[in-house]
Amino acid sequence: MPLLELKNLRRAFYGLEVLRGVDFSVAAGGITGLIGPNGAGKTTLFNVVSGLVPPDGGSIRFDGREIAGAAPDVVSRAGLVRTFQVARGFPKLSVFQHLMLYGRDQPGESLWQAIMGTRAARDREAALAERAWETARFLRLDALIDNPATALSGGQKKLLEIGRALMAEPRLVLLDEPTAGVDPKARRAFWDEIHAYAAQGITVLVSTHYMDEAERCHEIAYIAYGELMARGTALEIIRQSGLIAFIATGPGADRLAVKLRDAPGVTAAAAFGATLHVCGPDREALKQAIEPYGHDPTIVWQEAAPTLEDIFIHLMGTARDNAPGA
Amino acid sequence: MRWPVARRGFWVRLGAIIVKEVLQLGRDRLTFAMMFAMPIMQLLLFGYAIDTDPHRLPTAVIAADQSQITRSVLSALANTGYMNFTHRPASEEEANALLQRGEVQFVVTIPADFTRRLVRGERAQILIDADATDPLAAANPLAAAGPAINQALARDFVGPLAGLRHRADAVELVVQRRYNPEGKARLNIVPGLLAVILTMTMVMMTALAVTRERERGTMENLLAMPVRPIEIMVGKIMPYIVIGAVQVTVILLISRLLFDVVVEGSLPLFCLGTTLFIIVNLAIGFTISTLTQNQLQAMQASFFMMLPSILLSGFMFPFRGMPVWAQWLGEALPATHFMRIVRGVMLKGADLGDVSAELIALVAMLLIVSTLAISRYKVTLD
Repeated sequence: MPLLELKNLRRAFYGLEVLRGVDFSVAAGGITGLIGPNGAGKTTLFNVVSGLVPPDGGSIRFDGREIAGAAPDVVSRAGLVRTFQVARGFPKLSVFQHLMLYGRDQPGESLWQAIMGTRAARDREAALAERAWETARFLRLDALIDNPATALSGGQKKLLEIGRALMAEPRLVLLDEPTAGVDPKARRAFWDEIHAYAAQGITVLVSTHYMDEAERCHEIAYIAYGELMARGTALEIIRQSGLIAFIATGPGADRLAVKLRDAPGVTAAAAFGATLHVCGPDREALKQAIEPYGHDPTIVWQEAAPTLEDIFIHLMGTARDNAPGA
Repeated sequence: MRWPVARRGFWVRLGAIIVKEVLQLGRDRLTFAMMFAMPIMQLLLFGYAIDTDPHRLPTAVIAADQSQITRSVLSALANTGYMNFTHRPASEEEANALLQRGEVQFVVTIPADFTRRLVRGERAQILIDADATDPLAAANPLAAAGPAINQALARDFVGPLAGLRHRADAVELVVQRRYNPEGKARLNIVPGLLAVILTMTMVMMTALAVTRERERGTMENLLAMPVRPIEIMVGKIMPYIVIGAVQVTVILLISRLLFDVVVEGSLPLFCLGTTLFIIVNLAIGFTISTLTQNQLQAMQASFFMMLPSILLSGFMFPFRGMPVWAQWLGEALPATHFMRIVRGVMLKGADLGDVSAELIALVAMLLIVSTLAISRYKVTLD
């Protein structure tokens, strides 16, 4: 049974359908990447699932329980915790205080126990402090543990955002573009940590724009214009796409992108440095499209496996054809 | 090398910035509306509601003597326009209670032997007990009373009493300024300041504390925590109750040390009234935060609360000097009721019975405002 199961999830804002009947599930214990273009509905999906925005319709089952329309605190207590795209900490609180704030089951939160300082409250406080230190060490924030959140860099703020989510001891954590604006080294370290957490049994649903990150997920879900377009492992998606790709190398090959982009049979033509990727669903149509440029001896054409990016750009085009008002 | 100076196009660029500013302002309707509403409210309040020389003040009369001369004296006092005889207490105790509860501003007592003493050629007395907690409200009526009585008696001293016309000491007006015998304005102002300071700080601090979270985007974080909305709401308010209590303590200490103003009545009753008032203000602040989008709007909305609290609560200007509509507006303000509680307890030594109506009013306001705050408080980002 999946840990999270969405059925026909719908949500519109001012008449614009942002989620158009999304059916989607997340298996327990894995890392699922949610990818899609800007405005695809990824953050809205997170907002609806986490209870911050009620859905217009559909079902959200978490661990077998219906949570559609439940208040965010109820969802959070059920073990589904999220982070936000823009990491905003409480400016006057330190890293340690941030982490402690999100700790679960704090008996010291009862006014009486807080005043009396009961043994139960003290013991739980000590356990949470130890967990906060552990989390900070894991996220490499331990050297900054007494620093105010405002003194952290953008990447460190993102890590703190994840840290506070983990302090809530989640079963499923929704990470909304956690590595946007983070340098490649920190991104790699971040993904190592996400895998380590997944190994501990925490299920992760992560939204991202980066294809290399998508490839690090156990499973990928592609969403565009409020609809789920593809789902599976990276290899499965490539295999299922049926997309044909040709790569052109040589001087000036990249400049052909503009000419080929609108050619019949071509769904995407993108330059990567001096090379050109041209994709389309039909091999013959694609060959015909590139044929006028195949006589140039300085440019070498090769058929290649399409990349995830090729496939997503292709899917995006397909979705746009289906989008309302298209 | 000199950089080219962009002199040309100055007016075009300036115009573009002005248009951008006007567009932004026009789309922030609440701010825009408040910029016009605030001066209009000030004009109306200062123009129509404020009167530093209040007339027709409620007055109790104990007329133990029922002669023609007594009636003449009472008519003269009523004709000054300052006194309106609203109560006829049967006893001095009853009259004192009316004064203590603030139901009357003056008690005029004409002793049973008033006319008899005049006829005998002895000095007769008329007693006026004034609630002088607000020296401004009591000053003019008391100043007008003596000449008005003398004028009336001059007309009545005919026949065998004609000789009394030229006796300056025929009638003695005995005035007792209760609760503030020296007529010190600070005795009235200092307790009143408690109401104003608490309104200013509590309403604004809470309104800003919540809108600040929303503006910074940290409200999302709070909502997504495993904490119930009511816990967020109460948790955000609670620290300010302590801050309010500290403010009150500081004001009381300074009042005692510098101005010699002490709490005459029950301290627990004072604390009860103050705590209730602080909570009402915090609830109002929270409600404002649910109605406004950002800190600027919250600040402006708080001023909408503060200005009437200063002008219509009886803090700066006598409450009874205001027209009826302004008094009704004043009655809807928590500061008005707290002002009565705090002045009553601090200056008059009022007990629970004397201020119970004001306490009930504060509780009612708390219920209404809290209901509004809870109904407006959003637990989602919708």
